[in-house]
Order: sequence, then C-alpha cells, then structure tokens
Amino acid sequence: MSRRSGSLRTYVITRLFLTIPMLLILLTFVFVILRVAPGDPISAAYGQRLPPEQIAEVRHHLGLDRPLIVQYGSYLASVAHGDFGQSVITQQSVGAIIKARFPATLELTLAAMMIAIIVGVGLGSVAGRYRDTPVDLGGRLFGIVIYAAPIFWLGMMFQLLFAVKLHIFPTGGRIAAFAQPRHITGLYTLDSLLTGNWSSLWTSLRYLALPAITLGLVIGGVLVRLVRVHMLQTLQADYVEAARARGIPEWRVVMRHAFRNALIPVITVTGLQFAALLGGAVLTETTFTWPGLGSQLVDYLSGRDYPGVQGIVTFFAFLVIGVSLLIDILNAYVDPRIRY
Amino acid sequence: MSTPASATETRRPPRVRVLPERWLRPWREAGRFPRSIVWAGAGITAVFVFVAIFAPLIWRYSGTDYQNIPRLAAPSAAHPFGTTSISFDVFARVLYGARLALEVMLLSVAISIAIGLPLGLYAGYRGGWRDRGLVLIMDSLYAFPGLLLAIVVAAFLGRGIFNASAAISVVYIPQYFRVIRNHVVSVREEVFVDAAQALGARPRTIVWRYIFFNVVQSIPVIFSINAADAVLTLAGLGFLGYGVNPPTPEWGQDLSRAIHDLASGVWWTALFPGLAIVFLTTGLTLVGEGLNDIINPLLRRVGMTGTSLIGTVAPGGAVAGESKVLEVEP
Repeated sequence: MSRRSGSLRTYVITRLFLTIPMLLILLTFVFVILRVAPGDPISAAYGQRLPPEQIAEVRHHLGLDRPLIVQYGSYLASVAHGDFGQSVITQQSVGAIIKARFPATLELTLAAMMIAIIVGVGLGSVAGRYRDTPVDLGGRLFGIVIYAAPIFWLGMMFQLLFAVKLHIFPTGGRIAAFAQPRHITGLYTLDSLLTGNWSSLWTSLRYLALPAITLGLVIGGVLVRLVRVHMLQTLQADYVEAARARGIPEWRVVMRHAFRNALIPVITVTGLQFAALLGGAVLTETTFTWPGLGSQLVDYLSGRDYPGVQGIVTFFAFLVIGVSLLIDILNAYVDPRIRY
Repeated sequence: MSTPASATETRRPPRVRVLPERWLRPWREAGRFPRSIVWAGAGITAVFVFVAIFAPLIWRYSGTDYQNIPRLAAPSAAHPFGTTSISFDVFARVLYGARLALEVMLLSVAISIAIGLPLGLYAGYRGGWRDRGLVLIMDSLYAFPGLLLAIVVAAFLGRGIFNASAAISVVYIPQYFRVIRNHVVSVREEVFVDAAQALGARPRTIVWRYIFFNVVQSIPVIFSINAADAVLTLAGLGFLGYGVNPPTPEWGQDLSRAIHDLASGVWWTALFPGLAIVFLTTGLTLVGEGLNDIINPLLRRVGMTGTSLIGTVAPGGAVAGESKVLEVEP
C-alpha cells in the first residue's frame, strides 16, 4: 500500500505481465526435469528390440539428438503455436489429443465442483449455524476424514459397493461410442441435453456419477470447513444482529442475510482449489479409466513420451495460471484494497 | 524505534498477502478443536509409530513373505486382513507399510527443510532481485498442482525410497521457502538486527545467530501440515506406479494392485491399506491442528491457513498445498 494504488486496469496489466515469467519458469522446469533424468521415449517404446543404429535413427528423426537449447527453442515454439509438438508413441499432435481429451476432464471437474459445492455449502452452513453441537463436530470431522482418504481409495470403495455389489453404476469408463450424443461441446451430458437425447443423457450420467462423486466429496470436505468458519463469522456480524432485532425469523436471517455474505470468500477459495481439483482429476480418471487428460498424462509418463507429458503439463499450467489470474482480477474488482 | 523514519520507510517489507485479513481472522477464532480429539489424533499417530518400529515383533509374517500362504484368502484368524493374489499377508503389508510411510514422510520433510530453509533465509535477508527471482520461481512451482509436480519428478527420477521422498519434497520446498522468507523479511526489521548491523556483524552471523532462531519456530507448524500430506502424496505416487520398488510394502502400490481384485468381489486387499492411510493421515492432521492452537498466534495463522485452506484438499493425495494462503504478513 506504500506505493500509489493504481487503477484496476493497471493492476490487470501488471498481473498479466507477471503471468508470463511464471509460465516460462514452469515450462522450463518441466523441460529440464524431463531431459536431465535418465531414460528416453525410444528405449521405453522399443526396448531392446531395435539395434542401436536404428534407435539412433529414430532419435534423429524426432530431433532428440539435437542440442538441448535447440530442443528447448522448438518446444517453446510449438507451445506458442498451440500444437505442443508430436507424441513420440502415437505420432499424433499433442495439441489434437488435448483437444480430444479435455472435454472429458472438463465434464468430470465441473460435475465434481457442483457436488463439492452442494456438500460443502450444505454441511458447512449447517455446522456453522449449530456451532459446537455434535452436528458441528460431525461436519468438521467429515472435512478432516475425507481429506485423509486417498481419492483413489474412495473411488475404489464406491466401485466395490455401487458397481460390483449393487450394480447401480458402471465400474468405469465413459459412455460407449455408439451411444454418444452428437458432438457439440464434447461434454456428453450437456450434448445429450442440447440434442434432447434422453437415453444417452441417462447413460452418460451413470458413467459420470461415481468419478464425479468421488472427486466432489473430497473437494467438498475442504469447503465444509471454509463455509463453516465464514458462516460463524457472518452470524456474529452487526447487520445480522440488527436483522434479528427487527424480529425477522431466524431461518430467514440465516438464508437471506448471512448465507450470501458468507459465500463471497468461499467462492474465492473454491477458485484457488482449482489446481487441487486438476491433481485430483488425474487420480480419479486413473481409478475409473475415465478417458480424460489426467489418464492420458499417466500413459504418456509411463511411456516417457516427452512431448506428450510436456504438452499436457503445459496445458495444465495454462489452466491453473489462467484461473488464478481470473480470480485475482475478480477479487481486485470486488475489493479495491487488493490492488497492492 | 530510534531508527529515523526515513530508514524504516525505505526498508519496509513488501506486503505479501493474497487473502484479506478479514477472511483469515475467523480461522484463528473458530478453528479450535476439542482437546480430546487432538489427543485422539496423537494417540493414532503414536500407534502407527509403534507399529512402524516394532512391526517384526507384532506379526509372524513379514510384508514380503509368500511361502505357505494361500492366495486371495478371505480374512480369518490366520490372516486377519486376508491375503493378496500373490500370497502376501495383507495384515503384514499394512504393518510394514506404516514403516515405509513414516520413513518417506520424514525423509521428504527433511529434504524440503534442507533446501527450503536456507533458500528462504537467503532470499529474505538478501532482498533485491535475487529475492524476487526466487520468490517467482517458488510461486510458479507452488501454483502448480502438487501431485502432478511430484508425479512428473518421480516418473523421471525412478522408483525408490529416496527418489520418492525427493519427488514429494519438490511440493513442499516452496512452502518452507515462502514461510521462512516472509518471516525473515519481518524479523529483519527488528531492532536487534539493526543493532547487530551497527556493531558490524557480518551478514552470515546476523542470519545464523540472530534471525535463524527466530524463524526456525515456524518449521514445526509447516511440518505438521506437510506430514499428513506427504503420506497421501506417497500413496498417490505408489498408486500410479512411481513409489517404491515392489515388493516393498507400500499402501498406495498395494491399492493399485487391489483395483484388479475388486471386480471379483475381493474387498480385503483394497479396504485395509486404504483404512491405514485414512487413520494415519487423520491422526497427523489432528496433531497438526493441536499444534496450531498451541504455537504463538502469528505462527498459528500460518499454520491454520495452511492446514485449513491449503492442506485440506489433497485429493487423494497430494495436492494439498495449493491455495496461496500460506503467508506470514509482515
């Protein structure tokens, strides 16, 4: 605050400029890690089956024998072009893979976020309203225990119970190709809705349910604790006392006066959990063989497919940094004191 | 106090803050847990430490014994948690898994401190472009999903106890760095530092003798946040195949095997290692909450925001350190 407090526009521009070095650092870090470490995609893909000179030829073809600095330059160039280079194993453009797979991840994370908000806000406000009662303690313990559960284990337990034992949901995967709705957004539930294809909506929801609930519950566990404390704080605010004093029924005070104000910081922090959501999606997708970017990343990693790993990690970095930029700007817009 | 106003003006530390104070305050006021629950957490943790140390004395099988053990046997008196498809005793693997989890947890935290602490001291005391550069690098790493970072590093370091710990520590180095660095920036303004400078002490002496002991108190708090998270991250790495070398008993890896048993209705290979993770992580988290309540208010805030906002979303593992609230406000 010692410096002159700039306008919102100055803040946004500064923040945008700060994003560039952040992205560069992440890209460089990933590049260096992938290149310095032992092992390479060709040996991983072909193992001992190829004679050394042929391996050298493939390496040459893929440009892996060029000086690191040249590879780094062409990597940055490919990121700038948005095609992220070519996968070593499948020979496809990584950009195209990301485009094909991202809708699945987006659908999963959006659905999980919705569940997280329902669980988190619901339980959190009840716990906050009934402070220091068993309900409150239960809500807080739920937050802690759900955080303590590995997300993939939670998913496995759901698979066991709801898929294997009760046959309510499929164990994993996404809707079969023949049942897919017409491709509009790539989010099958949304596409089914848009095209009025009810049977595919039902099927896609059944596939989506378990992964989304798994991821949503874990993120919801955090929100419970967040909403709770902000609810507590808001319920003690003067204007809430004033509302009570005016004889407004308690439920109305809670719902109309306190609830909305308690949510404002929660929305911010929810946004900040975006990175966590992406990390969780990797494990959830792997558990449920959900064909999104996370499971693709795991495949690329095990094949030591540099361009593939780099591409997806870079894309995630763009997403995370983009979202945090958006939140910072929103915050600065809402609360002028933030423009430091 | 005796410093001229202009001097303090020029050295005023940058305001590092992401969430406004009014949003952080409730954490300090409402965060307290009943003592009994914190003690329960300490009890759980103690049980795991005991198990980790005395595993060979507790049970007749080791985690890698397979001779004369049936395959996929349901829980019974002979094998209370059942056996796996390669004739391992699940109970033994859960016991020995505790040993590995605690080992990796301690090792990864040690590596994080060994790197994060000196860097934080350096950046915080030195200031200037070196400080800004380091902060930028650490912030970039911090912004990224921790689990992904750990997976990428682990995938390319290869499996093993040390490699897995190193991969996990990449997630926490930025956290130690940030807290220490911000703390140093505020301690640097204290009168006793000015006095030391006036007496002509060398920067190295000032940092290690005057600043170090002041900022080192925040280590236990960050540790209590990271400890639970490290266990989850290790499980996540193990699940994806980047933990330790099989057949070393490791819960996450055992779970990735167990996923294939589920379809045939075999539940015991999946249930017990997972429960072990849940209990150990819950225990460590509760101990962390208790510590946060005890240690002084400034640090407590670092910790509380840490566990509560940051630490809490560790989807399965790992991502716990995500939101940018881990700040000490100067």
